[in-house]
Amino acid sequence: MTKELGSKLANSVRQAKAKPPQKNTSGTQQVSEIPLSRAEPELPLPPLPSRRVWPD
Amino acid sequence: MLAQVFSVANQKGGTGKTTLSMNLAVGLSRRGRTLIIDADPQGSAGQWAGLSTDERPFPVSVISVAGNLAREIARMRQDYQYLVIDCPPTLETGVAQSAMTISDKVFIPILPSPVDLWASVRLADAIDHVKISNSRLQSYILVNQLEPRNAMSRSMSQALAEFDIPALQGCLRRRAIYRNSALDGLSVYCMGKRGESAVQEVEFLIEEILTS
Repeated sequence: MTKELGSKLANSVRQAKAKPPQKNTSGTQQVSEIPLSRAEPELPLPPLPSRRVWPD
Repeated sequence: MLAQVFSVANQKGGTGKTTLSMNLAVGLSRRGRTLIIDADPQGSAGQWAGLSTDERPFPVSVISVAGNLAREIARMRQDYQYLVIDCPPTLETGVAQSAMTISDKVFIPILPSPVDLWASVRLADAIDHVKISNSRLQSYILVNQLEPRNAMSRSMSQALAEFDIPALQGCLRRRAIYRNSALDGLSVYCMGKRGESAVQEVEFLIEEILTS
C-alpha cells in the first residue's frame, strides 16, 4: 500500500513540476505579477537596518 | 572565522520554519556563538523568544532585519559562528531569495502531505535561480512532523526522489513537545526528560548538516 501511495505522490510531484507557475485564469483577477526568481540582494524597504528583538 | 549562514525557507506557511530555526539555533549555540535572524515580517521567532522568562531565558539572541539583509549579515558574520535566518513564507517579496543569496545552506522543511510537496516545486525553481549568483549554496529538504506509522509519511521518500534537491536523512517527528516548548518560549533542549527524544533528532540533524 505504501508503495502504491508513494507512486501516486511521486506522480503528483512530476505533474506539479511539469506545470508552469500559475498565471491569470478566467474568473480571477491577478493583482500583481512578480517573477518567482527575483533574487536581488537588497530588500525593498530600508527603514531600520536591524533591531534586536530578543533579549530586548 | 566567518559564520556559516543557514536559511530556513519554504514559501508555504505552516511547514515548521520557525520551529526548525529556533531548535536548530539552540543546538548550534552549544557548538559556537549563534544568532537567529528573523526575516519574517510576522516576527514569529522574536515572539517565540519573547515568551521566555528572566528565570529561563531563550538561550539565543534574535534580531529582526528590515534593511539590507546582505549588508547586515556580512557585518554579523564576523562575530558569530552560526547565523540562522528564519525566512518569510513567500517568494514574492524577494526576502527569501536575498537570504539564500548570502547563505551557505538552505533547509526546506516539508510536511508529509501532497500539498506541501507541490508547493515546494516552485521553491526549487527559485533556488536554481539563486544558485546563479551564489554557486556555493547547498539546499536540502527536511521532512517535518513525520509520523513513522502513517502511510503518507512512509511514502515520502519515493516522492522526494522526484526533486533535484536532496533530502536530509534526519527529520523531525510530529511531537507535542515542539509546540509545548514554543509556548514556554523555549527549545526542546530546555524541556528536560520530556524533550529528550526531540533533542536526539535535532542533534542528529545538526551533525548531518555540519558534515554535509
